Amino acid sequence: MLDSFRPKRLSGLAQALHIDPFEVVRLSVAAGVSLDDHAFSAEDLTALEAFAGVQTWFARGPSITDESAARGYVRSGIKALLDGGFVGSSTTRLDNLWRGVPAELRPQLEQAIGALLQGGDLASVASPKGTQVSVTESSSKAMSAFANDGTLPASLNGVL
Amino acid sequence: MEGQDGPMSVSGALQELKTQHAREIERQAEELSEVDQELGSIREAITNLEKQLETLTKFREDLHAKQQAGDGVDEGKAYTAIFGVLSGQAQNLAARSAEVAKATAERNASQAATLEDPETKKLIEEFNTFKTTIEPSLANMPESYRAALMGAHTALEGRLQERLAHLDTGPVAVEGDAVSIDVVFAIDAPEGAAEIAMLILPVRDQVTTDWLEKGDTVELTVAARALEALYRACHDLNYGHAQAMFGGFQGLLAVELELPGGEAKPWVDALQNHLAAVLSNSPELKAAGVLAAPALVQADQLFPPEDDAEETEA
Repeated sequence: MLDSFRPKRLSGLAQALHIDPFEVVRLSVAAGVSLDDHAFSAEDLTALEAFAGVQTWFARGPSITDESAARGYVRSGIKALLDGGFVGSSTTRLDNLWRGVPAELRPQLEQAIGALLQGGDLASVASPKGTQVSVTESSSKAMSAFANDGTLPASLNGVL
Repeated sequence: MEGQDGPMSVSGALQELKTQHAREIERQAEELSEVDQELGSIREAITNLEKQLETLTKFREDLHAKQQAGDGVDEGKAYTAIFGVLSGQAQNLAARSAEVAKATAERNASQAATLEDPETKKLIEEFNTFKTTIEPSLANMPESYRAALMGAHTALEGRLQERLAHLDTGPVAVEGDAVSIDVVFAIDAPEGAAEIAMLILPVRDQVTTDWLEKGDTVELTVAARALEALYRACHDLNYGHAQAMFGGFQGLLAVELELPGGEAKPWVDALQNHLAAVLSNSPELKAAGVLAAPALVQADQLFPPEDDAEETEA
């Protein structure tokens, strides 16, 4: 309870943002948030959250259920990208795709997202806000079919 | 025109002129051949001199590079010395980090005791009741009722804040000798262009994961401050989208950042300046009695000597 009345330290802010403390430092430098004393106000938290585009899509589990839990999370992530309009040049943080996912499923999820990136279904780009991701325009139909019907794209054959 | 036996005929005179011209042409051809030979010899000599010049220039560059690279210090010995010193410093820093964590826990326990005041306890209970029972159902309440509840809660927060203002979350100062550490860095530019920035910190590599359990340790602060300096250097040099990689190396935290090329010197200068400023101005490190300073080394000195690497592979 007391934490509500005290500035957050670096690790506390990292936990609140669901990112690691070194990413907090990187974002703070980019966003101009003071690092003078490693004490962060609620305003700092809001500013960093907005700057970085940090979103937690899976706090209550995946939006799509699948017989494979990992595949359910990947499909839910792709659906969130499509629903959010993150196609082509419109992007969101790459780690939004696995924030809130149970730790034991993370490696499989990251491997699947890596395969989608390699196969050209997703595209990523470095930015001061962090690595960004979007569905490529050429794959939007295939990704929609994967999210909605479970039709596996070629890039995920043997992965999920 | 006359010959020995009397006047020469016109045709004879012309024939004589032709013969003389032919001899002249032959003589000139011989001269040309000699000149060509001489030119060939000179060209060959120039080619040889150019080769010598090239060889000597390369030799000079190698000597210069060796002089610049190691200041005469054997790279293998430098590697052993650097990591030996950093490992010792990491142990000292870990010990200081544990002292600070203990002092911080004691400070927090002492502060918690001040919350036993009846009025403060009552306000905290009201605050907790709002958070656990009222706030979750606010969305279903009529607007006017919701606004009234929120107004009362804001006033409660204000009173609590006044009572808790004395609670300090800042760094706790500890007694004892200063702990001196080096933040080692190098810019790798094997072909002249800056390729990679490398930092080796006297911090145990588990700092990348144990912050979740341990919070803001002195080790985390050293790592975070070093990263801050790296990202400030990137910001200065218009490389704002840079993202460093972390990992363990010899049990220590190693940081690598791919650079966009260009001259190495601006990166060396920017990192040196930002590391010096950030490390010396950190209130957490001052309170912990940690004196941290940047130490520039050659990139080759951060790689294991070849013999060791071969033994490891074998």
